Amino acid sequence: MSAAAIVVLLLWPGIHFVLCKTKGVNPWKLGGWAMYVVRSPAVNVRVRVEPPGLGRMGEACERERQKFLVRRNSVGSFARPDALARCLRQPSEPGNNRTVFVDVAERVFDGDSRTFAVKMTSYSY
Amino acid sequence: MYMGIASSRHRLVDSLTGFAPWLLGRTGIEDGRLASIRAYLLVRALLFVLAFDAAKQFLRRGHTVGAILCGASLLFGLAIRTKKSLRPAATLACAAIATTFVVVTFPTTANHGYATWLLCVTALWIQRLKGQDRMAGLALARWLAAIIMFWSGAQKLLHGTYDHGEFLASQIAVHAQRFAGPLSVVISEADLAHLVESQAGSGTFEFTSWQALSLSRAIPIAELLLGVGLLFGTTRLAAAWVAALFVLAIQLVAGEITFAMVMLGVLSTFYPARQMAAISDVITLVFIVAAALALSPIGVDAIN
Repeated sequence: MSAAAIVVLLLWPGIHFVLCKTKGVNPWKLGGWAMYVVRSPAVNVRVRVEPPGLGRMGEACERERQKFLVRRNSVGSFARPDALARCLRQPSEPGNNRTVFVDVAERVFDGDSRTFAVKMTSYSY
Repeated sequence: MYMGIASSRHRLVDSLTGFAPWLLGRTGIEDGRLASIRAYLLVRALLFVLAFDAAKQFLRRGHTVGAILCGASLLFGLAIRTKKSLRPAATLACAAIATTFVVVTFPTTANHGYATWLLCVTALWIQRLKGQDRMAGLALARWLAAIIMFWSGAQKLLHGTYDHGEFLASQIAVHAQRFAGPLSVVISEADLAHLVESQAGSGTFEFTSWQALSLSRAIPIAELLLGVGLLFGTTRLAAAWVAALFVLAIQLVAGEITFAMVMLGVLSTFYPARQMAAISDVITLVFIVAAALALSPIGVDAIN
């Protein structure tokens, strides 16, 4: 069992690297030992509805937005804003009977240009 | 055909059963009783690491769970030192607290949290094993040290952010006051001026002076070699000491004491038992002070 655990621990960081590159997983998280490789990515989320709605999102949806931000910052595109969108489509929220768009802006380091770039991903519900 | 399949299966089993002892033996063989002592020395330090982490979580989020974990860690941390009969309970508590910590904080768990959890669970496992089998558990703990060192370096090489000093340059640009001082011996004035200017925008972040580039390229290679060095008898002890100094130096510059102490703890499993005991005491003291500071009016952010 000890040998099996060692093999898993040996292989996981390699898998972690692939997930960082393909799914935007934060190198500082999930035990890949990739700390001090890049600055921890900065994530921001913008919500909009079509046609434009009235009012601001309620406290419950704001909490969902924060939860999504935290998860996205750790596990990259494995985290989807589905729960946030569901909250926004509730009767009392601005997304009710409208199309909800969640725009995710992630500031990542581009090794080729050696600058920080913003990567945008949009979800529609 | 049936005989052929059976013999190939036997060959597979033979190769696996031969591979496992080879793997476990790579980090050195000791008496099983010493492995048990090492597990105890690890746990008695890690309980205070957990107490500090829980204190920070409690203060930052006001969670009751954090307060309970902090209190439990401190209680068992003191108990394990007072009565030998309490060691099994304290070791179980260490593993339970560390597991709870990872579950509650996932997926934002810091890497030192995973390292602490793995060590606590391994220590519990060592305690449950008998005789020389305990070496299998100690081997896992030692392999963790080698894996962390090796992959820290390998990840830096794979991500390619040390080839032109990209990461260090971006850190200096953002935290100029913290990093520029210690690194001013290798970073040219021109590089520093460029980085301060780049801070206002999005880049570019790189070094041009050979001294800074050499330092940046040497770091991942050193980590990789130190990780490999832990796996060979002739280099093991030296690699363990150099790795400890290396990690401490980097973490002091970065201001990250927790990971430094956890790594020191796991690297100390390679040292003679008396030295490991002394290091266990040092880690305990550091985190008693850190936990006290975290809980005091001085504030959470004084220690990280």
